[in-house]
Amino acid sequence: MTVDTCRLGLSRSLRLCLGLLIIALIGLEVAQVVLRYFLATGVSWGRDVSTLMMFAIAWLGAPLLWLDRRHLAVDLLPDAIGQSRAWNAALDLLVMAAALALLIVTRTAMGNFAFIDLPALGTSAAIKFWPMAVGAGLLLLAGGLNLMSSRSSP
Amino acid sequence: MIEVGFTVAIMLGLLVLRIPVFLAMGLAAATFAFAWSPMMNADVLAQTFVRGLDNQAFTAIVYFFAAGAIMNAGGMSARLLELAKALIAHVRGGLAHANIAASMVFAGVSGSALADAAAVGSVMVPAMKKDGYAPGYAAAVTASSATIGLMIPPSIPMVIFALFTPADVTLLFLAGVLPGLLMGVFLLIVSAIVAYRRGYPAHPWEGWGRVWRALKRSILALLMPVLVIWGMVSGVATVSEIGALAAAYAAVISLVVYREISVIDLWHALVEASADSAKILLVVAMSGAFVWIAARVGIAVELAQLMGSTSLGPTAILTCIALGLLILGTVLEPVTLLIVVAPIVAPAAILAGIDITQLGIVFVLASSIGLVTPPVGMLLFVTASQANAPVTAVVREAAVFLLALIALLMTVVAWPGLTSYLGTILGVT
Repeated sequence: MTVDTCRLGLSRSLRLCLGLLIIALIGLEVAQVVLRYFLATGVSWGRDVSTLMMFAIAWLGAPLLWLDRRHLAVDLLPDAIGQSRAWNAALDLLVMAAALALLIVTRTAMGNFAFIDLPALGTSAAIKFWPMAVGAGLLLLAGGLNLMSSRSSP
Repeated sequence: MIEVGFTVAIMLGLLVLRIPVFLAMGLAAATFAFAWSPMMNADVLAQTFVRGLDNQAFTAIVYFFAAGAIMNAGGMSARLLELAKALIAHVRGGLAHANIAASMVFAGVSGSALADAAAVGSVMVPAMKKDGYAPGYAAAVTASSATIGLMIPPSIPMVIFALFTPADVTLLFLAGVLPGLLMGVFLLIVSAIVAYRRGYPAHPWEGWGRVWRALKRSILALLMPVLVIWGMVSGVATVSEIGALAAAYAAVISLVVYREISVIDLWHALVEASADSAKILLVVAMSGAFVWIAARVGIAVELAQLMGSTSLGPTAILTCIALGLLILGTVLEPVTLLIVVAPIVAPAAILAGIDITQLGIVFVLASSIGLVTPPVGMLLFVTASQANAPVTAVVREAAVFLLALIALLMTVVAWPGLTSYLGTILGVT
């Protein structure tokens, strides 16, 4: 399997996840309004689940945006430097280091939150760190794939 | 205080090196945690990233992006352009005026200036070039008028401002309507003057029948901002629920009523909206660390003391804030500007007697002006590429529109009634 195939596979998987998440998020919010006005009821877990889905959109979006080099950035550098292969490779290495560090500190932070309950979901608040941990892992992968892709391309 | 200056300097330095905003903010905060570890441990840093985003109301950003993306993909821009052309293309320089009018109506369905520029510019820039307008001018008109997208509700920057400050998003949406419409009027005046001086062409008037047909074709799209404001003012739903309903409304009218979008197109629009939301949500997450640092160091208190020690009145202080935002806006794009600066300035500004809603409008308007100021005016780059014109030509042509927008900003600063009028007559204060 080539690097570009892996990049494409990761990109498609992330797009699928993001699409499903936004549909679920909109559906849940609309359902809350419909339940409130038509059935005078609601779901107790709605708020927590939609917050978690938003976390997932943010952190799964990060590797997708990195693969496409579409993150918000300030374009002050001349293109000759800012869009050069060497500069992009340096950015890939930087994001890989940052993602690895984030993965390590997230593990400790999750431990600190394991004792706080989220009653509506019947679990601990550590669940809020999972999207960030998964996103950091995938960001590490995306940075690595971009780096290998730029080295292997002519 | 020195540690905050150091952290902000690192962030700005990284931004200048074209490091993505979320990464620059994260690395600057990590440097703070490393250099002043007794103040902030590494695991606390990770917690601040989660806390920064731990507010369900931020989902409104995702919903309004989705609503705008669906409206865009569903051919709504073409319908709104047709209406704008039917109304105003018969005046000299009609296509430039139609471009501005289209941005005014499109602002009500998208909430994002870049989406407006992409949608309106893709149709209007080629049409204007074909009509004899200079490519740089066509791009400048599109870029300047797209800034209206941030002022007329639903506005994503207003949602962000409200989430980071004590401002009420309903009041902000209402307060943005008049300045948003005035933006259009100011730009139309400039466009009319330029059209007469350069002798740009007029299109023949095709009668009220065409206006009526165009209105009928676009009325459901035009209803969206009305429904958003009605929903918020009447209190039937929260801002995030209104956003979700707007996205669902956009999907239903695009798929079922207008039938100009397939399910596959809708899927792609939603994925893009999700990715665009992620761009902002990541910056919001990272801002959690900056909010934590600012609170820990007490920067808002120091700023309030600084403002209190001056003998300046609220209008003079607001003028200074507006000028500062204009300068920062030349390098920072609106989301970063709002997320980094608003939480620090807002508490001090409130203590100085400035109305938070008026401050919010000044923030959003100044940051939207930043989109058309060099060196980092994103709209200048987008529209220059649409028109296939050099960015320098677009900057030159946009200068006169920029002056009009700055004049409006100063009007908003000097005249608080402009932002409070609509809320007052609707009984929402």
